[in-house]
Amino acid sequence: MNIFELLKQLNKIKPDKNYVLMSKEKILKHQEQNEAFEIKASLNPSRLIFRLGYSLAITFSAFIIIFGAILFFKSFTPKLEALNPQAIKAEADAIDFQIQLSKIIYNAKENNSKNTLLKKITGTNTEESKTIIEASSTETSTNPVSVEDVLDILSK
Amino acid sequence: MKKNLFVILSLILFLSFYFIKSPVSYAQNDNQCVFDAKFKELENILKNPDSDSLKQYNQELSLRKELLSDVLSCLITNNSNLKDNLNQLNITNSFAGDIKNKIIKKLDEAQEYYEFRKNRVNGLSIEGLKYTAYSLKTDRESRFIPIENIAEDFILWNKNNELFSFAQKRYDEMNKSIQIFKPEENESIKNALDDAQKKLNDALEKHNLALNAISDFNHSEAKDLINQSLEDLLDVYKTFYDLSQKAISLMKINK
Repeated sequence: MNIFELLKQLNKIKPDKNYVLMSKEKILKHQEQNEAFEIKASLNPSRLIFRLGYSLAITFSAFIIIFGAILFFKSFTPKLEALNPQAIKAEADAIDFQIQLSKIIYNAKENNSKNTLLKKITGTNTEESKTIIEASSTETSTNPVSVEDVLDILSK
Repeated sequence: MKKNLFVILSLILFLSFYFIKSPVSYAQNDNQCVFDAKFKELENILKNPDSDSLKQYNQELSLRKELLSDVLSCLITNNSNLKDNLNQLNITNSFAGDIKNKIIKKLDEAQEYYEFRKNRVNGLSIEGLKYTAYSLKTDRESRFIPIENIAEDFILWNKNNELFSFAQKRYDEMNKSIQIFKPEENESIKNALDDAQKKLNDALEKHNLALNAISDFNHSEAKDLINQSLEDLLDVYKTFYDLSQKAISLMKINK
């Protein structure tokens, strides 16, 4: 047999009709099953949690990288506001007020007024301390009778 | 419409005055230790005794009891306030924490002493009251006033400690910032920076020595060191200010 005739015969080959139907059915059924499986799997809570955790981890890592980079660059960038004379002056003022406050406390004759001042500087910020000092310095000195004065007269 | 707006504005104004803490409240003083009236009354009774000796005795006895009781109440309150002030302090250093506890223990002893004396006042005669007043006076001079002074030193020291932390932080930040001007190549900047560091270290040393003096209950030394360290710290800030001015002038030149 000539090779060309053989090839012509091959061209006429067709699959068995039953086999075609069976294969088609099998293929279509498989696809349906796959789709059903995928929908079911995507609704699986453990898989959902895993996906959520995964996306959260990625977001968190991205945040850490971004903030880390910002902090890193910030720490290497010199803070020029540290040289701001107004800020330096404000801190120096706070020291000056503390010096005045110490003088008032050390010179206060009466324990009561000292206690009031001490009570008010404890836990207050500099601005509040300033107000206390200003208020103390405007108070008129009336020289009240002190504990020691009373004990003096009582022991005689 | 205008009327409504006026009412709303008035309400806002009233509320802001009502809720904003008035700074004047700091000037108010506790009136628990005011003895002036009774003191003058006793002075008067002693200077101008009544011809009726029994009446005189009873008047004097009752006034002495009242005054001594008032003094002891005042001392108890002051002592308790001092303890509260100490307890409110934010202390980060363990050495300072130990000192605070030591002072509070001494203040507790004083509190017990005052309360014991106060409970006995009513049963005392004039002579007994005189003796109690005298022993209270001498005990205060020798034991309790030094404790009160040390407690005050410690409260002041703790407030200063915050200022020293600010100064150290300011120096560190300035030092970092000033590096852009290459202090190793700029004599004037380098000298100012070294000067600031030296002055800050000296002030800090005095501040730490003040805490040691407080720990030894040495009030006069603590007081001197507290004042000196603060004066020195103010001087440090003058150097900081000069340094910032130099840096600013350099920035202007480089622009």
